[in-house]
Amino acid sequence: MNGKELHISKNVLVLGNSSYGYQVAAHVRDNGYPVILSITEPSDYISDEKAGEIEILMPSVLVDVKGGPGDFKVVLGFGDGSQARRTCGCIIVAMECSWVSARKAWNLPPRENVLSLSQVCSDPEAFMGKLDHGGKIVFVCGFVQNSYSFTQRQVAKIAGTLAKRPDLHVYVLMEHFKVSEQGVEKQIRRARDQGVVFVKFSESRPDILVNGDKIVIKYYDEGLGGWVEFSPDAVVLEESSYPPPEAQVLSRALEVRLDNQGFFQADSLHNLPIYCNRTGVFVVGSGKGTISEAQSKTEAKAVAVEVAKLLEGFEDALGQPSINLEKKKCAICLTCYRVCPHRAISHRNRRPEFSPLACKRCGMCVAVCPMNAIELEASRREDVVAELKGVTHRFIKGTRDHLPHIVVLACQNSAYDAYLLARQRGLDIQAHTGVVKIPCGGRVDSETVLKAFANGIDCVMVLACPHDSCKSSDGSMACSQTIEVLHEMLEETGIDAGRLIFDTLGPGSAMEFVDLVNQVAKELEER
Amino acid sequence: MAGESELTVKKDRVIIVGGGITGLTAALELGQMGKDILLLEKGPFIGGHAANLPCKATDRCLKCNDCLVEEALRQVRENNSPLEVKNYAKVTGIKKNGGNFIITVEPSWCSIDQEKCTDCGACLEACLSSGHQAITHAPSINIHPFYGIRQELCTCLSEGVSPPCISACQEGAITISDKVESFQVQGKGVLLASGFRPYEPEAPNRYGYGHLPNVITTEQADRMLRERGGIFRPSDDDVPKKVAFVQCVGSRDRRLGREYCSRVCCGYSLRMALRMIHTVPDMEITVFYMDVQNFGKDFERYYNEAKQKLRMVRCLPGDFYGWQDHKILVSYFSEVEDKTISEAFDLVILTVGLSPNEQGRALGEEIGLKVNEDGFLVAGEENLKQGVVVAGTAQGPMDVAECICDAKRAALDMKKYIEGI
Repeated sequence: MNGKELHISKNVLVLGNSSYGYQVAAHVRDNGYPVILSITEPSDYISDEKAGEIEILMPSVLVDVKGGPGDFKVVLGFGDGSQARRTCGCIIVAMECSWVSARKAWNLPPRENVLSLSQVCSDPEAFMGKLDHGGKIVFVCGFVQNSYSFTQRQVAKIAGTLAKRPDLHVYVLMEHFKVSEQGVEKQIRRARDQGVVFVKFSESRPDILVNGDKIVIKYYDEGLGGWVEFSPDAVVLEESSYPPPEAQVLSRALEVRLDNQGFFQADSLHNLPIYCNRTGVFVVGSGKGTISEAQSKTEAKAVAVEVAKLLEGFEDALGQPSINLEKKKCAICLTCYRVCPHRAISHRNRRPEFSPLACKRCGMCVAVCPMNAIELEASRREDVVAELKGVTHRFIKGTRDHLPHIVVLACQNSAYDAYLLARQRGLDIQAHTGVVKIPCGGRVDSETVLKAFANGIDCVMVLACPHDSCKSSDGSMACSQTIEVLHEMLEETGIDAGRLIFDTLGPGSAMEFVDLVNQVAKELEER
Repeated sequence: MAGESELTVKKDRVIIVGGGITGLTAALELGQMGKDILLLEKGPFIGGHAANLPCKATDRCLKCNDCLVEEALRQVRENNSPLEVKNYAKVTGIKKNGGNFIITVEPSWCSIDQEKCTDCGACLEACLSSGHQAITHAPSINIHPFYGIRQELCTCLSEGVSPPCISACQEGAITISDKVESFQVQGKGVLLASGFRPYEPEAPNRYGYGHLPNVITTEQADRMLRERGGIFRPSDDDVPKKVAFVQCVGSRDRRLGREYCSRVCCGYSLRMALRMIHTVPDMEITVFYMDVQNFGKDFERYYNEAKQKLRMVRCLPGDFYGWQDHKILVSYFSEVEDKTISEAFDLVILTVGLSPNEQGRALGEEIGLKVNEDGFLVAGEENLKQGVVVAGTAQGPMDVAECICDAKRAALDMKKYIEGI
């Protein structure tokens, strides 16, 4: 497809569920781009005069997305059933996580003296006022879920203030001090100096029970080595954080993956800090994993930079060679559409279409196409085969020794760098090793591997990125599966499956590269 | 002192101090925005501490962030409009003069010119064969020049011999001279990305660090894993069977005046331990700790894995003694057994925290930045109005991904200042 036909929009759609969405929208606007802001809940924190050039659609939800980066066609739905259609160049998901009371998790009934931390923090005066007869107050951090440093900052602050009153005894029960945010270590020490009792649990956890109209706390104090039981006058529970309720629906509409807990942004290293599996879609804020407010603020600015870079880079990206589809060969199976981790392939009139802006040139579609109809311009089949021949001929031709011949197909994002580093460092790689650069483990298909064997190679090693650090999300995993299938094929045809090896490696792991190759060479020689 | 002519004065130029992951990312972003940048790095290589991080993947990625650093270095290498980077350029002073900053740079007396260097490696060979070890190679193939001179080990001048590397270099890229003069550059804005220093226990210390050969820091372990692909005992180069990690060394220690958590160490040490046990499955690893801090999105998954595969002991050991076969006898109080136990380990790895970079701090103070209780820099609105932006670990401990994000934030702040928004 000729990219020049594409219309490129410089509008930015921000999807929010709180004032954070507005914060993000404002930075993007200030950086010079028109913004459409869709917020799920009506709110009074945004006024028209503040918004300036931000078009605010509130309350609205994302209903549908078509197209791709540079030209997303989105449909936003309002409560009354009406819809708005907009076009935008990229989309920012700027949702905040949900904080849920831990009361149910502790199996406690709704009581006036069982509170959530945010309730207490939002109005500490009112909370203190209720304690005018003195007593014991217990804060509980963690146990239900992992605790956070920025919530412990709040606990330390309020517990310290309470403990200044001589009639109040303040306890904080926790699994760990979470002190990684700036200043929290000191804040906790100060609270302790003010008389707050911090009790840490490693092997056990406290029980919070209801006895008539009383709450009873019972625990084994690991430090003192004895049981403690008392009735506090108030219990303050740290809340648990969960993905925003919109996450499931949005992830389907946007075709972006969620992590194993259901937050935006799948667990892939290259998604850090603010990316996801789709070009043109960014994820910021606590909706992609619980983070502090300060970190959310930093991300709000960072995403404004990323958006500008992406939108301004589209012209250049269109000029870059991408995918070539030989229409005559295409069987319209749409396997390519299904495997593309970047969602760069769509289909119109039952034909796959490739977005040069979304395409990351990993070649996964090339590997899966049963008709060999797809060609990756940057790494054409014939070029890979030629390179394969080149590296193998070099040592097969002239050598008369019996050292094994090894070809390494090395991912350009990891193993190939490791190989170059090993070579530059002058590390000793066994003599007859040829290394072919591949764009991604996911590009490896049976044809390439079998061609290598057909060239008289003793062993083919495919070295790709560790799973979860593949720049194409699934490339490395898909590669290991291809190799597994090939192993079975080789066994069936009577070829030793040990001659085909898959492994993973980081880009700086020069020594590991050498060790892997030399180990394989040694084993082959001994056979 | 040479005049301002050393490097041409360009209008609207941003001077970035520090070539670590933060400085590089900020430079790349500002470059993309069409801004004129000069990056000053005091050492021989760009990439900073982060470039020395090893990949800690086991059968899957543990998100050590090493690949993100590599990616940034690759971008610098492949950048269409090359960044103006000066290695061996230590900034010794920053003054504001009218609308501009005047930055005094003290170049190292030994350096390799990145324009001339072809990465041939002749200098390294010459240095080694003359019995010296001053020339070293970069941790990544994406760093150019690939070779660098470690000033503290470069002794030819003091020995009165003519440095063999200079004659070995066909390109004339090497300068070793006691006549290097400082010079000044000007910029409209200063982006301070001066980073941190890994904590190093001072002698004498209870860990025996410095005199027991098999007590090393995580910083040393990181470099060893990156360079050699494994962790070995310094005393005999053997693979250790029994290893202890000691957490919070130089962190959360009021007596040392370091009453803060270094934020990233739980993550990097537990990842290191998981990687070690993956490579050598019969290795026994004990982690002495107080608390475990959250690290990264996948924290609970890694922490659970750590609890299964490592022996987590909730206490910091008191004493460390040298033992037979260069083992280390570690004594600690076991809550499980309710008594003090002495246990021998083949290798002790001290999980060291992040310290403020004193040089960066001094520069920051010179241009009006505040310093927080822990010694890290704090920037306010008033600094931004003056064209001073701070980024990365100069402000306090952060991981690589956080540094990258913060560098982008800093680039936006700087862009706004330069454009007068």
